[in-house]
Amino acid sequence: MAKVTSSITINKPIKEVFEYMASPHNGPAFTPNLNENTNIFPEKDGVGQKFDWRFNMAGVDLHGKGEVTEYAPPNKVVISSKGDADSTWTYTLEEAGGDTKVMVEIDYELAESAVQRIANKMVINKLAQKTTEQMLENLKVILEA
Amino acid sequence: MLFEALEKAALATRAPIEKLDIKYKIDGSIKVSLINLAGKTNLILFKRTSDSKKAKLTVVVFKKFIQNYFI
Repeated sequence: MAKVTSSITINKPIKEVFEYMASPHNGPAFTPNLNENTNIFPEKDGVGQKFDWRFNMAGVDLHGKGEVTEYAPPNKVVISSKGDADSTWTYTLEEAGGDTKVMVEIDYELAESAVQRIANKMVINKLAQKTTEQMLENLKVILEA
Repeated sequence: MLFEALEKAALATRAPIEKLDIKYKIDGSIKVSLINLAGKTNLILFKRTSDSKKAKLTVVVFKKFIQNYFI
C-alpha cells in the first residue's frame, strides 16, 4: 500500500472542524477529484455509516464503497473504502490554542485494472499527495472565512 | 437543476450566496448568471468582481455538481 500524509492548522474550534470534515456529505466540497458521495446511510454520522463514492484520477473514473470505521469526536475519524481503490483515510485533530491542527493520512492501493487505465504509478502517487494537500487547503478556506 | 446545483455548492462550501434577479453573487465576489437558451441548453457566465478563495472553490464545486447530473 502507498501512503500520503499532510497537515494544516485551521483557525476554528476543534468541534466545528470535526463535525464538518467527518461527514461524508461534505467530502466532495473539500476533496479535489472526489466527484460525489451518494447513498449515504444512515444520515447520522458515526461508525457504520456507509456510502458510494466516485473519484476522478487523471481523467479516470474510479468507483467504490466507503464506510466510517472509527468515529471519536472531536479527535479522530477513519473511513475505509473498497472498490477501484482500496484505501483508509485517517483524520486526526488536535486542539492548538483555540485553533485546530488537522492531520490526514491516506493509505491506498489501486486495483490493477485502475492502475492500467491510469498507466503510471509515479503519476498516481504525485496526484494523491497533491490531492491531500489541496484537500486541507480547501478545508481551511471553507471553515475559516 | 442549475440553480439547485449552485445553491448546493454554496451550502457545501459555506459560501454566502445572494440572489440578484437572474444572477447569483457568491461571497460578494463572483457573479454567476444562469441563462436558459433553449430546452436543455443553458449558458453559464462567471464574472469575478473581487478575489475570494471561497467563491472560487464554490465555482469548482458547482461545476463538479453539474457534471454529476450527466454521469
